[in-house]
Amino acid sequence: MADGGSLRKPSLAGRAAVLFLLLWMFGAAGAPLLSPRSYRSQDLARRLESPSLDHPLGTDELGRDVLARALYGARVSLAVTAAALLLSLVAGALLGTASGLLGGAFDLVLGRVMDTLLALPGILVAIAVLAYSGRGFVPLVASLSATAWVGYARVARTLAQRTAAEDYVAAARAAGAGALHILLRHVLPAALPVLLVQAAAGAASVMMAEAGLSFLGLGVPPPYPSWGEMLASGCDTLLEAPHLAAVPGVLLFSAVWALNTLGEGLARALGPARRPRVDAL
Amino acid sequence: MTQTLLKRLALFLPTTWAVVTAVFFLGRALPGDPGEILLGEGAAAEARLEWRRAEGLDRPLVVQYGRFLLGLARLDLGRSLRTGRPVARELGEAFPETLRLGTAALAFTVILAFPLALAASRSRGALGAGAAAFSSASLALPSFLLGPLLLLALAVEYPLFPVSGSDEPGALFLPALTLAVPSSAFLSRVLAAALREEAGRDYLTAARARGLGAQRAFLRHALPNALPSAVTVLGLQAGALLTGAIFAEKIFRWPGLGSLTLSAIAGRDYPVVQGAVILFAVVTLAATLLADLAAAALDPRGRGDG
Repeated sequence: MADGGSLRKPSLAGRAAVLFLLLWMFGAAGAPLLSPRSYRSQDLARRLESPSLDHPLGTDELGRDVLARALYGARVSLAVTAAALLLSLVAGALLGTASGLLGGAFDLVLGRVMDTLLALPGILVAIAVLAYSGRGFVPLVASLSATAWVGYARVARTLAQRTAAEDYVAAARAAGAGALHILLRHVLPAALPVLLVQAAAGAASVMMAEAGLSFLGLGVPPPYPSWGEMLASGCDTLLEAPHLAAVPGVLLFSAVWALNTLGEGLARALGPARRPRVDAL
Repeated sequence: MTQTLLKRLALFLPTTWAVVTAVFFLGRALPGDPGEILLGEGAAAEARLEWRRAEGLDRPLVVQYGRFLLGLARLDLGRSLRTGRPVARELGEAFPETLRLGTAALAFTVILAFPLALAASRSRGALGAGAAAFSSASLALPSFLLGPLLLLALAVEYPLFPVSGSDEPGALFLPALTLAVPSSAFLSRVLAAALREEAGRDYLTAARARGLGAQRAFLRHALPNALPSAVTVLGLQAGALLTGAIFAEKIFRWPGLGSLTLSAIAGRDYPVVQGAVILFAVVTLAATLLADLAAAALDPRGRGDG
């Protein structure tokens, strides 16, 4: 998909990305079946072990099974990424269309808020939110969405303004349709496909941000595993057991790469701006 | 030029105010009683009330906000709950280390990005393809993945550089490189795109028609026109590099603002967290402002009113 624009004939990279994501979801869903061991039971006598039949990917610094933690970690990263995408998409779509349709003071204030958020690195805003709210699934999702909604709101605002100026909306209004009807029947349906493609393209960066926050110790609280947290504790034992950092590192890299490839491919195939790329020179 | 300066300042000041205000209210709105942290959970209710009164936390929010702003103007950010020292001093000690790291990373970014962009936009052979492939791979390699890799390769397997800390010579190299690779990938993409766009313009054909060689026409005309957009991106990158330093500081145990922030969060030292977030934000905004001004000054198209 990386080189083409068609969904019918995905490229090798596109197929690999889909395959990896399917494996990832399968691993996350079937974690209890795929790993007989618990992700939280500790065995301090068997710390930092190399892969063996007992522990296919070895054990970590507390003697926990790395395979189980990697599988359950896939659940966490999948759930957090999906929830944060959904929250920022819904919030951005609603605030953006409201801003575009209402105009006036609401539009002005929201515009200033968005400019301020865009002027700061997203990770800084997320850290600030998590510093005060404490760790947890909900704070993590909220902190990731704190800046991510702006991208959707901007697009939704422009699309809402464009739709509102269309003749068929004027006709609906003349026929007596109310604001809510126009919002639900005309504006949102026109904006949603574009926003969904945008969300697909943004999934990789949300996942990376989740891993980054977990790496800093701000992700879901223990004993839940997450790839970012596994990577961070793997870094502490890099000399004795490099595989502890390698397992989450490889998983994270391939997941982000797969999401990136897929998102870019979708955006190219379905995106509104199907401009030819200028790679000739 | 003066006009650009005023316009940018008019954007910078309200944004800074908005950030400072947001940080203040974020700290007051979310749960967590600093008195409890300072005095311990078992502290008597009277002692906690006494402390709140002494700190002015029993006053109306507006009064607290006013005092907070006045304090900020005098660089008074309160005292650390853990050490009792002024927050401004704690930040002042940590920030130069982060600035050192960030400056080195910015220098590495530029050193890496320009040859990459030139190769990607000028060469059609393996060199160009290699440069483009490096850029897109580095984009998928965040600092918290690249850092451990570099650490393992260049400090453990081949011990060319120290594993952690900031004292030994050469200690700066790995953390700065960790930050620079992803950001140079981004910068080189922007620069290469700008160069490609300029390379197709009529003025370049005109210059070539006048007999100017391809290389000279490119260096004299295309590069200066592509530069402003690269500088603007560099300003955005500078802010991102400083915040991204949190990751490099954690991986390489660099004693900077990022390490201070993380330990303050872990210790629920809210005054230090608040000060650090404000400092990060202000420096980021200032870097963007400076880059915008530099881009405006560099732009050959805007030289008329200079």
